[in-house]
Amino acid sequence: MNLLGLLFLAVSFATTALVSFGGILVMVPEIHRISVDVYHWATDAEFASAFAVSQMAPGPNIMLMSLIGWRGFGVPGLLVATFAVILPPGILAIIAGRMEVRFSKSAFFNLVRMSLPPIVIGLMMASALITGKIAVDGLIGVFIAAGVAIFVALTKQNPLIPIVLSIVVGVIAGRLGYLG
Amino acid sequence: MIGFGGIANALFHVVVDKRKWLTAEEYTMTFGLAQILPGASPINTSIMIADRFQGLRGIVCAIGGLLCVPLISLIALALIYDQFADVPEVRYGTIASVAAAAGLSFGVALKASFRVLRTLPAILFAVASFGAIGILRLPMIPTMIALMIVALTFSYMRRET
Repeated sequence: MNLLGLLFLAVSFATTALVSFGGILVMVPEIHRISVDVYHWATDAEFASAFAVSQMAPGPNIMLMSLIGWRGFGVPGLLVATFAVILPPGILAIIAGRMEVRFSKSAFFNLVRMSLPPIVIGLMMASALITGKIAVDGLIGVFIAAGVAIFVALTKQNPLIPIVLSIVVGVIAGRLGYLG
Repeated sequence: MIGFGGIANALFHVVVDKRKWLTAEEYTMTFGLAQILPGASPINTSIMIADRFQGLRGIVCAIGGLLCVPLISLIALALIYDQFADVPEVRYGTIASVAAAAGLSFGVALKASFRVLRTLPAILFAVASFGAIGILRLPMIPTMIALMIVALTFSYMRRET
């Protein structure tokens, strides 16, 4: 078994998870860079399908990383990737949770709370761009992405509605020959 | 387990409405803390709640419970997907759903930016992190550390004056 590869997987995913302020989606560009560009655990197309499957499957978003681990190294990769993403931030969460009261009143906590949001917004936009670049080909893709973005930005409805609608539009557009 | 497209909403329902482990305020506070920490907020929230009530054993159960069924169904779905990946409809659906996910990320960021990006420095920090990660494709870890240091120093200095 490729132990060295598994080690790279564990270390790169764990360290990325430690700076993933703003949630799992902000990790997408970095996970793509690591697993497609640097180590070639997956191709662009495999990354896109892993992303789609992890979004469609019920459960937390970290399952994208689980799937990349699985593609690269089978079941050991699946487990290593999953725990690499969960454990380092989880340990931080335990520490922070135990000193919640003291922590949430500290000046440092307030500084972080003030400084982080703009950076996270930039990361989310970067994540959208990288995801978009993988999937969006042609006008229909841009149309779908823009439609969902506008729906989510302007309403408080469940995003599942536009996503299901997008898939219907995609299949119809594909049938009519407007999609890759 | 039933958390399609992320589990945040389902988690609130179970912890607050159904089991009444926490009040809505307590949950919101814990979730708020989890959002500032790195990692998946719902998972971090579950870990903190489990730790408060059951300690280490609770954490193990929480992680196991959150992941076991989803991971199995994930692999099942991935295997089924591989079987049908060549069917045009599946390919179209995949392209559409990834495009929709890109739109979703963008929409969430856009919504938050109405609220957050009201000052020039905030806009500059957002542009900097977007440019570094999205356009230049710089490695995330050094980029984030550098951005955090600059942003924290900046807010600190502004507080002083």
